[in-house]
Amino acid sequence: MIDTEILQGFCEETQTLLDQLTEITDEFEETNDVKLLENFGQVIDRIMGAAYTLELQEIGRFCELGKKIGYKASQATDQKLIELAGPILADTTEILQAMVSGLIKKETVPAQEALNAFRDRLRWFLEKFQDIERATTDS
Amino acid sequence: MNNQFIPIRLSTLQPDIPLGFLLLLKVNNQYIKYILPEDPIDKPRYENLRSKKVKKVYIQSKDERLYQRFIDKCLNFDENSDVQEMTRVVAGIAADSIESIYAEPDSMYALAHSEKAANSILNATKLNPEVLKELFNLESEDDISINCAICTCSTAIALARYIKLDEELVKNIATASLLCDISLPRLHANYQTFFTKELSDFTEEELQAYKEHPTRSAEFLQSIPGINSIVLGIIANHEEKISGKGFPRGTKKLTMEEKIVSLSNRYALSIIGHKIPKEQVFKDLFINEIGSYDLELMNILKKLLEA
Repeated sequence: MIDTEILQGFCEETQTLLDQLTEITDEFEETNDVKLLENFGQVIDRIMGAAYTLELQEIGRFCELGKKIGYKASQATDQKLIELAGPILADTTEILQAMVSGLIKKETVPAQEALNAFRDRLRWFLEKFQDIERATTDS
Repeated sequence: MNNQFIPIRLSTLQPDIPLGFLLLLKVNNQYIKYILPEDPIDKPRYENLRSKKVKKVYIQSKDERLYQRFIDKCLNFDENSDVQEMTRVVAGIAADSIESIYAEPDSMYALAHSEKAANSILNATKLNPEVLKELFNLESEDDISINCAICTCSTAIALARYIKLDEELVKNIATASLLCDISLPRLHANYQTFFTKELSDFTEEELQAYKEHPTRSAEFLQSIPGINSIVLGIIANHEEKISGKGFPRGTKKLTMEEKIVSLSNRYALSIIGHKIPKEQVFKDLFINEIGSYDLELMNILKKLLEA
């Protein structure tokens, strides 16, 4: 059981990062600049780290998938896939938003069926970048 | 977020392709059904949502795989996609719409169905002109009247675009081509045979019904809000010939769009209905029908089909 104060701190910190993710996906929608997808990967990586530290496995796994998509899409050359990455990462941000809110207000947490379905979408989409090996931008 | 729905972005949906899943809008915290699984999100609705800055729409979580399938279809639906697959999709959308039109020709939705089918052909053929060639010689399991309508429509689009008619007029031509024969199922029980036999083999009763169909098709549609006189004119005159030997009126005065559909209708009937080889169709046209159809259009069609 996580201490309420720590949980509150995680939610507040994560909210700021989720707002950044929303800004990134909004800007991507306007520009299709792949650099933004890399930024997305960096920001969501911070949420992932904190979530795994607090053993919030489900949130951590979603972030991990989002991070991989962000990084891989930023290195992709298929324009259609790149363009599709933005909207899918925007949906990821929304789902994460609901999951994080659900840590405090249980009624907002998405149903397990919805989470499973969305995880399936992220995995399906990630598979489209299988020719790109690196899931980070580190060389 | 209601916990059984998951978000998708409007920008991931391609207009005019049937969704295959239920699409919902969120209005005042309520999820309302917006597009049914069998329908596409048509361009005007799509643009309307975009103009209202709607970015998110929703699906039921159980439909996630269907959404993925739709995206896969859209990812492949470009100029590099397999022409036959694209043709199959387009012809499928058109066939569904025409079936609905034939089931209820006097329904106020007949025009909307036809526009939907026409748009799907227009968009796909703009994206990849090769699709038109496939549609010219469509062989599908749909009934012959549907295949004839699709062939007439695609032939007419090709001719209209070749002579650089305004795209709005091309849309009218495409819409009308699909509606030309909508009265036939109401005029005669065996109307399908009209597509396969020569006029000389018609019984008197059949001939009467057949000669009536252009006028009756136009009559079915004339009270539908939004129908325009160009579409009605094309339908009413699609069996006319510039020689005056067509029917029902035997008029020689045809507009360019009417001439296009008249020739396209004749070509589709020969190829799809009578199963006459393409080369033979042109032989017949240039020997037996000189003066019946616009010579320049006949030459263009021949050129397009030989290309």
